[in-house]
Formats: sequence, C-alpha cells, structure tokens
Amino acid sequence: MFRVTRSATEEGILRHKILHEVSAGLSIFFLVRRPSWVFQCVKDKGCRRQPRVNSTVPEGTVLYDTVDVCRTVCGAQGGLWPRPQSVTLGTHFVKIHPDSLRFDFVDAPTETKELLEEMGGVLTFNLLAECGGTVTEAAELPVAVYVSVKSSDVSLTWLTDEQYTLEVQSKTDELSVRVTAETVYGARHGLETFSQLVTGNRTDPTRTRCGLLAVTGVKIKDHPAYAHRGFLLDTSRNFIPMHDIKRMIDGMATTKLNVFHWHVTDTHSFPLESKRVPQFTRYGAYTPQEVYSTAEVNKLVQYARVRGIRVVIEIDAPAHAGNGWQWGQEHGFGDLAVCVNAEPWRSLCIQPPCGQLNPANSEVYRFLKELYTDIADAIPQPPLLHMGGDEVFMNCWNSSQEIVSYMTSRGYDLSTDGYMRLWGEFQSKVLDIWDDILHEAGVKTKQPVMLWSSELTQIRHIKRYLRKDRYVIEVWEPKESPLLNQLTTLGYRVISIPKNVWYLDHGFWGNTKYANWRRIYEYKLPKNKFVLGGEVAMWTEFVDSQALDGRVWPRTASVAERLWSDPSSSWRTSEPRLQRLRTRLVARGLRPDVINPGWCAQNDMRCT
Amino acid sequence: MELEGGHRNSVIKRRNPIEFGLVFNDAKEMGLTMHPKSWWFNLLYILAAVTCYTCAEDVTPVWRWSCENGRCLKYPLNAENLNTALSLEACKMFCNEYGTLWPRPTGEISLGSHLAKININSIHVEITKRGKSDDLMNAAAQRFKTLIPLVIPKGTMPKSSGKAVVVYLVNENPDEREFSLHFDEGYELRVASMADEKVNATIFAKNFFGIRHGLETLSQLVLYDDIRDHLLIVRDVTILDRPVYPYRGLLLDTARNYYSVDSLKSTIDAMAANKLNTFHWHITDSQSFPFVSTRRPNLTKYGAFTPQKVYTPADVRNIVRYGHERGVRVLPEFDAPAHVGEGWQDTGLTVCFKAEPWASYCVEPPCGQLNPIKEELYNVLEDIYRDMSDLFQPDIFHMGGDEVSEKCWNSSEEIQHFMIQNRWNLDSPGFLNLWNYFQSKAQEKAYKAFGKELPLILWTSTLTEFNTISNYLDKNKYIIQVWTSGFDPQIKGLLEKGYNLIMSNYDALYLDCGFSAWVGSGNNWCSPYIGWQKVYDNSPAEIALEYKNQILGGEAALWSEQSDTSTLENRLWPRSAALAERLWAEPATKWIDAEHRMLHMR
Repeated sequence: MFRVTRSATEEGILRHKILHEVSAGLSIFFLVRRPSWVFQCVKDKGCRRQPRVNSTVPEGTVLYDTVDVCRTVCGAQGGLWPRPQSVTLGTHFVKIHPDSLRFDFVDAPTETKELLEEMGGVLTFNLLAECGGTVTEAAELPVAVYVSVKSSDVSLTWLTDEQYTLEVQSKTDELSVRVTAETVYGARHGLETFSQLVTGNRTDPTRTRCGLLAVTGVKIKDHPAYAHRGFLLDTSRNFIPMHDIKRMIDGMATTKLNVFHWHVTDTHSFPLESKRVPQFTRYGAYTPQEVYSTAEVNKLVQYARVRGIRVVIEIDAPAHAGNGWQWGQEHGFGDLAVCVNAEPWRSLCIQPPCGQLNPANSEVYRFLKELYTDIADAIPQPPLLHMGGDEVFMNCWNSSQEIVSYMTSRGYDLSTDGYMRLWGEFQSKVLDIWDDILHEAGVKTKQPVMLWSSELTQIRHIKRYLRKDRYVIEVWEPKESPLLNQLTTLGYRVISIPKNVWYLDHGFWGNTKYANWRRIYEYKLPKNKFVLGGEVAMWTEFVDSQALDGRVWPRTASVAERLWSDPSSSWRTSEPRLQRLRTRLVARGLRPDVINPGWCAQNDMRCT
Repeated sequence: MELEGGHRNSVIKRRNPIEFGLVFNDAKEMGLTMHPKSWWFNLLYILAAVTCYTCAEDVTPVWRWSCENGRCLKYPLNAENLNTALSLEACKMFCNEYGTLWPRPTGEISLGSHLAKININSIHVEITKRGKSDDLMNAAAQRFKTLIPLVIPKGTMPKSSGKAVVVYLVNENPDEREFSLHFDEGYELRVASMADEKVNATIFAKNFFGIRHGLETLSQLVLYDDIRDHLLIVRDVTILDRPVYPYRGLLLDTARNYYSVDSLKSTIDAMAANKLNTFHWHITDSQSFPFVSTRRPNLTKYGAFTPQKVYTPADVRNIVRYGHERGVRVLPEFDAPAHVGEGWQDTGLTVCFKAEPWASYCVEPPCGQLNPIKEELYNVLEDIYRDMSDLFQPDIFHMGGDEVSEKCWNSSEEIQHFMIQNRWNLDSPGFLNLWNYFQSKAQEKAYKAFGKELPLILWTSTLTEFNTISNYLDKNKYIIQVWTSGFDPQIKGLLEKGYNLIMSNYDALYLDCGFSAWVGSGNNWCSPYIGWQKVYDNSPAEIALEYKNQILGGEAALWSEQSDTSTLENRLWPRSAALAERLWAEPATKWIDAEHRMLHMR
C-alpha cells in the first residue's frame, strides 16, 4: 500500500550544484527539487493539489504524490476511459513489476491462445509505457492474470460479444487479476481496463526511479452500448505513413474503439497497392514511397486484430475516384474514369481534383473486381467492405458523351431519376461482383456492405436501389437531419457520423465550426436496434502526420466513451478521467492536444 | 539542356523570357547512369501497351514537371525526356520571380536560369574579416552546413560528384553583435560559377545579422533532384535584401502549459529559417511560474507545475544563446500587475488569488493580481528583473500590463483605504491612478535592474487608452503592443499621439483562436481558427497608412491554454511563416500569389 501522509513529508528543496565546465567557459548548475505539491481526492470534486508542507488538510487525510496516482482511485470510475457499465474500485495500491507478470490462459479454447498471447504482450508493453519503458521499483506481489474465454470464434463482427468481467484482488502470494469473457475480444477489453488500473509513479527528486502501482479490490462488469465504434481516417487527401496509422490504432485500442474505417483512396491519390492492378498506385500514388504495400496492409490488419479492431477498407465509388484510374486510354481500356482533374471543378465536383468512375465502360467492373479480390484477401474474415457512394455529381457523368449515349441506349432519361437508375445499376453490379468474390473464396453467407448516405439513400430512392438486408448506411448528415430516423423506420441498419459534431476537420475551413471534446461528448445516438453505432472522421485535406495526433486526440476519446458507455452524465464529471486518459496516451507515444492550462489539470473541476 | 564545355546542347523547354537548363560537369557520368534506365523505361512502355496490367513494381520517379504560365505541371517521365526533365523542386525554383524563397527578398533579385550539380562533401565557408562577433559567425557557418543535408529525403544518399561550393562571408562590422531596433539586417548575395570546378557564393552585410540572413537565403537555393539523385544549386544569383520592419516576432506563453526546452529551441530554428527576429517569451502567468528566479526561489518552488517543469538559469542562457546565433532576440516578458498568482501565494503581495467565482475578478481562472500598495512588492520585482537582466541581457523589455481588473483590486479593503488616502475615487480613473502608481515604480526598478533606460513594451489596455495615455506613459519610453482587432480606433489614436506600435491584432495574429472554449461551453472567444491566408494578408502598413513609420513590426501570439509541446509545431507553422513574409517584405500582393512558395516552405 502506497501513500504519503502529512507527517511523512519533508521540507522542500534539495540543491545539488553540479558544475560542468563547458567549452564556452560557462558553468551550469542544476536544481534538483522535490515537488511542492501533493494531491488530495476530494469527494465529487476530483483531485486537488495541496502544498506538500503545512498542508491545511485534517490529520490522516490521504495525499498522493502525483495527480495521476490520485486520479487512478479518485471518483467512482477512477482513471478509467471509457467508463465501465458497473465498477467498484478499492483505494489501496500494490507495487507490481512487468517481470513478475504471469498469464494463465488455461481456461480458453486452443484457437484463441495465440491471439491471447499477443494481447497479453500489448498489456505488458502498456504497463512498461507508464514508466517510460523502465520500471525500477521492485514488486510487492507478483501478478497472475487468469483469462477465461468461452468461444473459440476469433472473428470480429457486429455480433461479437465484447462483454467482460474483471476482478483484481491482492492475495497473500500474488495479485490476482481475473478476466472472464465470451470472446477473445471481450478478454482484450478486460486486459485494457486492467492496464488503466495501473499507474506509473515517479517520486524521487531526480525522477530516475519509477514504480508501477496497481489498484486492488476491483470488480468490474462491462459491455459496450454499440457494436460499431469506428474511427475514419482518410489517407488519400494526404498520405499518412503506416507507423502513424498504427499509433492511431493504439489510441483506438486504449479507448475500446473497434472499427478502423480506412478511407484509403479518393480522387486525389491512390496509395493502396493492388497486386493484380499495379497501375492504381503507379499512376495514383503521390510518390512511389507514398504507397501501402500489401505486406504492410496485412501487418496492419493483424496489428489491429490484436487490439480488438476490425479494419474496414473503403474504396469510394463511383465518385471520389480519379487519380489512379487515369491510365485506361493509354493502355487500350478506354476511359475508366471521367472528368479526372477537370476544370472548372466547381461545376463537376465538390473539391478539386474531380473524377468519377465510368459506369458505361465494362472494363471498370473488371478492374474493380481485381481490386476487390485483393482487398478480400487482405481484410479480416468475414470481409466487410465499404463501397463509398459519396457525393456523386450528375454533371460529371453528364459531361461524358460515352455515358450519355450509354444511358440513352439503356432507356434512361437524362433527369435525376435517370442518373439514379445509372447509379443504381452500378451499385447492383459491384455488389454482385463482391458476392461472387466472396462466394469463390468460400464465404458461405452473403455479407453486408457499407455505403455513405447520399441522394441514392434518400427515402424516395433507397428502396428501389438498395436492399436493406445487404446495405448498412453510414449517415453523415448533420445531427439535426431526419434521415437517420427515416432509414431506421424503413428497417435499414445505420451508422451515425454527424458531420457537424463528429467531423474532426471542421473549424479549419469555410464556415465549419470546431467541435471540442465537450460538444462531441454531448451528442447522443438514437437508441434503436437498427443503429449499429457511430464513427468519428478525420478527413485529411488540411492534415498530415505532422498535425494528425492533435486533431484526433483526445477528441476521439469523447466519441469512444459515447459509443461504449453511452453515459447519461455530462462532460463535466468526465473531465478528470479525460485528463488521466490524455497522460496515458502521451505515455503510449501519442501526441494529443492539451485540454486546458496545466493549472486546471492540477485543480479538477475549477475550470468549468 | 546546356552543358558546360559544350559537350551537349539541347533545350528542354522554351519559355518566356528566359530559357532554363541544367549544368552538368560530367557528361559521361550522366550518360552511364541513364542508359539502363532508358532501356528499362522502353521495356515498361512496351509491356504496358501490349498486354499487361500486372507489371513489376518500381520506385523510380514516373513524373517530370514543367513550368507553364507560372505553374508546375506534371507529365509522365520517359526515355525521350529523361535528359531534360525537371524535378518538381527544380521546376518550382524557376517558375516565378522569387523561386522557392521564403520570405521573398525585397530588393533586386535575379536567379538566372541554371542549376549546377554540387558535391555535398565539399562545402566550405570562409569568413574574411574577424572581430567580436566571431563566435556568432562561426555558429552561423556551422548551422549553414547542417541545413544543406536536410534537403535530401530520408534514406537517400545523393551522388557525391559535382562542384565544390565556397561561401565567402564579408562582414563590414565584425565587432557588432548586439540586437537593436535600429540595426541593419540587410545583405547582398551573389552566386557564380568559377572555372575550376567551383561555385562561389558571396554574402556582403553590415553585420553578423545580415550575414546570417544571407546564409539562410543561400540554403534555400540548394535543392535535391530526385530524377538524377543529385544535389543542385542555383548557379547565377544576385539578391539584395533587407527587411521592412525591424521587429518580427513570435510570442509563446509557457505559463498556461509548459513547453520543453527542446521544443523552444526548435521553434527558434524555424523562426530563423523564416528570418523572424524576436522570440517574445511570456514566461509567467497566474497559472504557473516556471522561470527559476535565483533571487526569489520560492516563486518557482510554489509556482511551477512540477519541479521538472521549470526553466533554470542554464536553460535560459542556453536558449538566449541559441537565439543569438540564429539572429533571434529572446525578449522576456514579466506580466504585471495582473496575470500573476501561482508562486506568489506565500508572499502576501497579491490580492484576489484564486478568488471564486472567478468570472467576477478576472478573465480566466485562477485569478490573481499584485498588490501595488506594498513597498516590499517593488523589491521582489527588482529581484525578478535583475534575474532576467543577468540571463537575457535584453535590449528591450516587456512589462506586460495586460487585463488589469478593477474588481480584483477593489476586493481589498487595504487597497481601498490607500486609494481614499490618496484622494482617488474607487472608480475607473481612480484605479488608473493606482495602476500608474504601480507602473511608475516598476519602471524605476526596471531601469535600475537592467542598468539602462531600455525601451519598455506594454500591452494595449485601459492604461493605454489613446485619449489619456500621455498622462501615464511617455511615448519616448514605451512601445505599445496592440492586441485589439485590426479595426480598433485605438490604433489610429495611438499613432496620432506619436506612439510606436507592435501589431498583434488578435483577429489575424492570435494563433490560439478557434478550437473551443476551455471554460464554459461553445467556441473560444476569438474563434474561428485563423488560416495562414488571413495572417498573410494582415498588413500593418495598410492598418497604419500615413503613420506606418511608427510601426516597428508585428508579432503572432500563441497563448497556451490549449496547447503544449505536443501540438506546438502545427499551431505555429506554417502560419507564422505567413507573418514572417508579411513583416520582412510587406508585399503589395495577397496570399494567392504566395501559395506555391508557401507550399514549398512547409
């Protein structure tokens, strides 16, 4: 048990003058000082800093050395993010060490063990990260992590049972950590939660020593409110290197998000390597280095799976496709895409460069099939594909004589309805292609696909073109829009991604407004079995790896808590936990934006 | 393409009014390296045309660039055009008057039309005249050498053939080394090719600062060519350059959140690249006191967030020195009498510290203001100023003076009593008298501590209200830093009264705007986010019109309520670069004409 009480503290400054002769003849001296502050957990108010000496708190009050240690046990949910559905926390700490950490997977099916071992590895890594990689303090008790899993199924879908229970008890000879779950993914969440019950503690003046403190006396029963908890990253507007993507995955795993929606291509660039059609990246990548190779994609899929995350690749079509498709003429396949890079762009698309696939050219379907086959090989089973379907511009298709003639030959008029029929035809062809690929690959049941909301998904069109058992609609209209409810009333499954609160690029262009973590937190999804969940989106017109972390974190954590816990409480009471999450993300190598002045982080609930 | 010695001659692209070419020293070598590639490309084309859409992977460039109507356009690279093809970087260098230089030079500029291959292992700097600024000159030369390899992409090793580069630094006053608001930062840069496999670059300047800026410009004339895998330099250059404004600043607040020493140094590096010359260090505020005061250590002991989140005397010296070598003045601000709090709690010299509800006493929590009636206060101030004098040795000093709250002072009976004794009413004019009382005494201590009557800067406030400012502040002693909007009538009023100004009008230069409110709900007070275009177009000359000679310059400010080390770089850059060009060149053009160079600078 670890605590600092008033009487145990000592007076302040230890000065060590270490003289260094430097070439300039200057001498440098270092001040090595004890912290002036300790932290007290005040009921309903969080952690407040107090002077280390002459503290005015009553004798016997527990004072913690750092705010992170205080937060780990302060308040009903301590430092956990997202907050569990039901939790009891003790107030006592035990010193532990990763070297004396043992996993017991005896009570788990053989099929799950390899995955569980990797998940255990992530836990160990995260514990070490709390101490910057080196834990210098010896353990009071060894840790035994008992994991029981019932199901041998290691696929991750909307039906996967992610609930878990976690118990942490100190016994005479060990700290016992028991995680019980239906699936490996539930078990992973349990391990993640355990990692958040542990905090690094640096108390010595030179900060070279660091110990790990684990809370004991813990009982947690937890399950997610929504099955689809996604983070969208656009890697086409600007290329995001693979190690940055993995860092986003680390953040997602920390906050129990489970879908990485990878908007990998767009009109701007095509960075996803296709083994079958290398022209896509040859003509579509910004540079030969800015490409995701198939080997890298496979590794990413596995990296995400170990962290309880499913990778969903989106190939946006028929619009938002251009660069990467412009080689058709040259290679004798006709125009695969039309109005690519066309000007003036304002009349043909939503932002430069323009480009849309050419639905009149049968070669387009042939190359899409090759591309989809590559993707089906890469993504986790059963494969979930996002087919895009965003912002199709009639004027673009209308600018192509080939398409206009094709429409006439099919008996489509040149009105909106005609274009809807053309688009509907495209959609049904590509769905057939996807079904064929999966059938050949031995997937027994037809898999649902995802599609953006659009003119085609308005209630006046959707029933005619899109079957509700096949399409899950991702609704990106503003939160006030009726579309989400209209679609669920019709029986369509939906994913909510309201652009005016959950688009992270807003506030940096045009009239859009930045949504801070508080606004993001306040958006509640309709409670309805057709609402599978939500996503938060990082479009990258104005972001690359330089600014990525700060735009995405900690705001994405707000969405994560909404989708996992769906709390009825407001952001106010969550802020101390978010502060703790932020320091945790920093320890794990992310560079999240700061929430407010450091003073607020040391004086909970005083900056509201 | 033009080759030296007339080995080969072929024109790559005829364009008005000049013709562009590349100069190679060794035609043989080029020939050898190209042969296999030509063969490869031919094969590729045959394969692609005949059958396959499953060709092998390849990481050689597939694009070349050509300058047409001031824009670089992308074309496929093939065997026929490989000899003459320009990489994107090379294309941009000659595609407009200012090449890829940032900030753009203000005087005569001629970049010629040729690039020469240079040898990265053979770059020499010669300093012609020695003097008291030798240490700075040597450091600048060293920095120049470290900048050159940065243009090479990671993981590539360009060929080490090509010409040697010799840089001559001709410094007229090698003894001049101090910052001032009146010194000449101009320089002249000439690059020419010599007969003996050499490229000579010569920089003439009045002092170290001009020399340094010239080296910065020269480093921007070196580029990496990915088509030939070689380092190139622009061969025939004449540039005459001099800044429009003497004060080109960036403010960083290290009190709301702490920044690592390394992140401050990399900020100074980026400032140097943009020829900004003042790092305004808002080092303390009510939230924390990270400046280690040797004379008053308790201020830091109780004021720092943690004992590690401090700037020790060694740190500060290190940063000041780092700035000096890069032509960046490190200007300390000690904000007073408001914006104090943490660190002062056991001194008995503050009022309304951490008062609640905070909104009644100050603009953001925690509240706190110095108690001007305490004589001891002025001794503490003198000690702080002395500490700053030792470490910064500043040529100008910022005394803050931001957002003083009458209500805070009025919450103290002791202060009320003092004011009544002085026959001051407890109203706004009365509190201004009290503030003036403070400022006069603080000014005296500052002069004493710094050992000279150095120019003092204050933020705009009720004390600097243009109708009454001359009752309190002498226009020959004080510079006013404007943080109102650019349209505020105060600006014109102050100019008419003859005050010198530094522009930090929040509507264009507050880099913390946007994001969200961190107290209460909604967006922060100065939302929305300010794009680099707005920063660029914010012209102090347009604001000041006939009084523009009283504008010393401008400064972008990053208040740190919502940023720290993690997000520092992308809050500051590239937006501060936009400011840098505005203050260096005060161009008559708007952002749209600068966008292509901006993209390159980033």
